[in-house]
Amino acid sequence: MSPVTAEDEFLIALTTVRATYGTGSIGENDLKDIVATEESRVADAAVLAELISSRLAAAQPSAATVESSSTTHTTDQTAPSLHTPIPFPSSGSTPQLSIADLIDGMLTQEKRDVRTSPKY
Amino acid sequence: MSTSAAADKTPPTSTALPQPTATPVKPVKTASKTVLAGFDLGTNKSCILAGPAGTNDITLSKVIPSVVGYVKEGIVDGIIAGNATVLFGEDALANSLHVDLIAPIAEGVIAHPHATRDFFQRVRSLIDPANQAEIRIVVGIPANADETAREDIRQCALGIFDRILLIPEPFLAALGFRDDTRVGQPGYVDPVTNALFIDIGGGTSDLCRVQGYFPSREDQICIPFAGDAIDEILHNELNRLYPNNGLSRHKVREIKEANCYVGPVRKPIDVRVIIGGKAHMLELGEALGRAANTLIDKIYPSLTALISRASSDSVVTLLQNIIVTGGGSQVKGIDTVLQKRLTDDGFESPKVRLAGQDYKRYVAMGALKAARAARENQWQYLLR
Repeated sequence: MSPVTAEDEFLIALTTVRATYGTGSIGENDLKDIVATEESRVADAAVLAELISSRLAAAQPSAATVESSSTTHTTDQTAPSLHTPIPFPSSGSTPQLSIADLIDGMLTQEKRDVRTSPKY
Repeated sequence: MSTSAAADKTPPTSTALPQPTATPVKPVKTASKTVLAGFDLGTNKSCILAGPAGTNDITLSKVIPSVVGYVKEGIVDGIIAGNATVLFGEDALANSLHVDLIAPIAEGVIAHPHATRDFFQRVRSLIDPANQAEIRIVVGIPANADETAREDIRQCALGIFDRILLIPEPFLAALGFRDDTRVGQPGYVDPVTNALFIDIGGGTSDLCRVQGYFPSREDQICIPFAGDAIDEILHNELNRLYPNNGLSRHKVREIKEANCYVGPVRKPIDVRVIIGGKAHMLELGEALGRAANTLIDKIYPSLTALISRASSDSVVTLLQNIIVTGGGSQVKGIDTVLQKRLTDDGFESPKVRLAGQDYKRYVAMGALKAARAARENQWQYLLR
């Protein structure tokens, strides 16, 4: 059985309210306002998480501590959680793929494209 | 009310633009601090993330509608706050009655250079309100942006930002989506190592295979069909079904964003609109589905083409990592429909996923990561 999503819960609540108080009790505009407000809150929370996460990551004493804090991750094995710090690479980090090397690849490719592009 | 230094100036004409330099030249100004920025310059919405160099701080995270509003002649004093002559983003849209709205970008490339320069100026003022820092900015560009499109961006950035790097958007989306805290952990598949990104924006849909090296031209496909094209189809359909409805393209986009889906027809989808001052309920189930399913028809051949070009060693993992991002990822059912079509066509256990609710920020996030990782000699100087 698939888990109940926030969207499902919202629809169930909406159906309940409309069944109890009539279909006109919550109009389309009210719904849009609610959705817009909640989207705005989520966006604000995401921004706040971004602002705080780098400070939290910087305050982590060791990799082991980071590991133990990962229990808040969602079940999705690849998507970054909004509640998880997303530290950006610094000179101290050792990502498996160097972004600078990837940029080098891009710049080399660009130079090759410029050399091989037809001249008018 | 947002205004910028540009608000007090007449927009420069494109012929008045200063000339950029292709070869590195030291900037005239010596700034005491450097701010790094990642910029997703979108057709409809742009996102900017920025923070001081040498730190992990993010001091600015903002999504702005990519629109500039030039206040019309004859507007009475006080109607526009501060009597600004140029408005940006939400402020421009909120005052649409009193401004000429210009979208700087069309189909992912610069359509109006002077509006773009004003927009860049606004972005700069957000990044560095005191106008004292050196700004190094990584700008996301469509996968197929040619040298002319790149040069247009450099021209518009000239004198506003100090150094620039232009990087294709789907690759930046992959960098932004990558969870750096989990790279190397068991069970975590690094999207930069082997994934296929489908970034559906306003002007273009960009597909990109990211397999541990910088994607070559063969790894990327850009289709000039995305959110705006769906808006147009839907608008035409609305005009056919409900003539003289008077709905603006902006309103049509709102309807699309709230209700759009792909897959089998969903009916009824009743949408309340105001026409001629009166409320009407329009049934748009079929129209919405028809418009959005066109997107699937457009991107699916490119998706299968990129999959078929992958090596036999990498393709199975690649099929497990197809990620839809951008505004198009909000079209209901897009992951399910793409995955089903791939399965029906015999592809081995494909898994199509949505990037998630932070989709608006992944390109900018990747751009900021790139800005922080770029070597000194990788930046291109812009003459101030």
